[in-house]
Amino acid sequence: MSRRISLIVSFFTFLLLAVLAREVNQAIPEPVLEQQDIYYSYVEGKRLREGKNPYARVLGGDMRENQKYATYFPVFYELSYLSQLLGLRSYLKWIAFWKVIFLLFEFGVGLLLYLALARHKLEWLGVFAAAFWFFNRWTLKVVEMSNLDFIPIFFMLLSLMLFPRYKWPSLFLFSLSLGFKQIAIFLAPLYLVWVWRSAPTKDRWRDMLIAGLLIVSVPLVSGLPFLFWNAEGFIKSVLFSATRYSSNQFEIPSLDQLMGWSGLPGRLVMLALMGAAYLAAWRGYGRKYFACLLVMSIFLDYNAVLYSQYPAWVVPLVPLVFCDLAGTPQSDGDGVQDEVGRLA
Amino acid sequence: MAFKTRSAGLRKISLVSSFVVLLLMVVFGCYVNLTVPKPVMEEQDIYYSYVEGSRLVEGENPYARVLESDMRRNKKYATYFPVFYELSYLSQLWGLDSFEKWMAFWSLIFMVFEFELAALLYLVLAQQKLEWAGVFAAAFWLFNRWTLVMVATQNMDFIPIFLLVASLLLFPRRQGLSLFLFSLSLGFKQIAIFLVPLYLIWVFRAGGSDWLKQVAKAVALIASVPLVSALPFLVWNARGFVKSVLFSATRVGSSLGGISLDAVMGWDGLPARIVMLALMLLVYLLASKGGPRRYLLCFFVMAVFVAFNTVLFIQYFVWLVPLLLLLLCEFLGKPENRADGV
Repeated sequence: MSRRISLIVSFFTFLLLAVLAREVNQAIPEPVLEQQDIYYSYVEGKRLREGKNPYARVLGGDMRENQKYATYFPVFYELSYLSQLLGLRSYLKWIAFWKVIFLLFEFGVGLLLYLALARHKLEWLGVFAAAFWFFNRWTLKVVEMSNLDFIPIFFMLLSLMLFPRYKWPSLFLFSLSLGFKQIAIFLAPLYLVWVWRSAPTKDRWRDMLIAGLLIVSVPLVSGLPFLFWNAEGFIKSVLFSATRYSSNQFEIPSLDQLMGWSGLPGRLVMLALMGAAYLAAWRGYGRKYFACLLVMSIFLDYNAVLYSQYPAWVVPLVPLVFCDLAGTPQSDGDGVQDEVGRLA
Repeated sequence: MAFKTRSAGLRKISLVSSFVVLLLMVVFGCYVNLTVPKPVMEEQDIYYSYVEGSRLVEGENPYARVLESDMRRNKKYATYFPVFYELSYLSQLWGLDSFEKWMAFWSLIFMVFEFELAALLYLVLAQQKLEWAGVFAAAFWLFNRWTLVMVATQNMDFIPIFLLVASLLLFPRRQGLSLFLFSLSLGFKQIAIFLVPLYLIWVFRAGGSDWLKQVAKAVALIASVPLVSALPFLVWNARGFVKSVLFSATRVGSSLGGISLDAVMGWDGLPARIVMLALMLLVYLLASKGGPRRYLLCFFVMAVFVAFNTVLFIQYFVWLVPLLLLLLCEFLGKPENRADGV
């Protein structure tokens, strides 16, 4: 099969998978959405509409017990507010609109996976990656819960793919991902390490500073109104995830839970392992997607809080490690030999 | 983390200090293992391995019960190949006749395999001059939530996982032994069964003109432990044995935290596994074209299994962890040191 035919056929297969994924999504029985996390994003938008600060509620709490506080950075709460202002006032209308958006981003992630691998002449592996993404149990769980995770996952992946060639836009996209949901925050040190390593020696500190500013830009700019409104509430809300009682929908306790460690000290083992991964990246070991897979796996395997949507953050990184093996200078900058080229 | 050292002296210091850290971790690991709160053991899977051993002591066939089932609903049937049931039987014959005594002995064995696996991960990375990555891998293995839940529930998975990892590590240099260890892993628990085609592909690709003989020998070696250990049961009640082992493929699903595709679509039994098998087939195809790396392919196959299999139990996750850590050999080492397979 010539390369062009292979590309066309594989792309049509990808489209077919996307159509099938839509059918599958529609077949998923809908739970009571008022009990899902997404409902509280609607509620926070509604609070904004009513002139209330969603981040103020945490001040009445003990920073341990979760009472469905607003804990994400505010981009999605602001979008929730705007979409309600634009007419989606009832929850049913609001969720119907956002479910379409989530679906588009879910397909967007599938497309990114296909394109990332097709770029390395591995279009059929791209089809595999898309199928793996669309139909695995964790993606389906996120669809079932109508969670917003597909949006930040899409931005995280797009950012990773663009990083070698478009460093600054990539960092902005990563910031956007954090602005929606800060799950990928543990990748921030990796980005900084990559910026440090890729910068000319004399510009390293300057580039690091710009990178740091870019990464915090979206959470900071979107958070500014709330910082002025009630800085303590905003900061405490965002920090709540680090101090709260652990909770996990898998009922599989982490090391700190088993040992009775709590709060920040409970996260020390996880942070030490992540620190080792960052240090390895700093010394030039490992590649882009593998480093991310490792860090996110540490998060999944060690974080005291574990929700059903967390594995969906790791799933797309699994097939992407193939791109690391392809290793063209454009893909990860370390110029390793093109090992999978012969498979194309 | 000084993964590489520049001189022989520094390398020796790095090796010694990393080994000391490993030992400290093992001590801490022992403390954690002893501290982990244990659930009611009579409700755990391991209890039923004791029960199957007791059945054998009483002259009953553990694989016969499934014949009264609808092959859908699980009633704690004996579904593994018989190596562990036979060991359970033997250990009871040797005097471990109460569950408490039996469990005390086997939990020690499980712990030994858990720590041996940590040591194996350390050694394989230290061999590639990545001893600190080895310390990282051992820590990751000993203290992640999936390993700890195995420690709490005293599941026997550490034994077959250790055998699988040892088999993968030995494959390039000691193919026969590697295939036998893989067979032994299957004999304990057949979770790694989806890796069989990968092994056969590697043997085929390395076999040259002699490939048919090599593949036949590999098939015989892989089948050896499950088959030999099962012979008495095949003679005793072949239908019961075959149905018990096949039960995992036909039973009603159980999906921890997620929802599987077949459950959403209402697909049942073997057809429900088709998407999973199709994805695995793609990985096999990739292996047959010569790439890319041994551990990565195994990681992929097991990831597809965990993400797609109708039945998902907590212990399945723990099979993925050492395979992820073995990727450190393939993604951190110098190209000449990487485990490139065949």
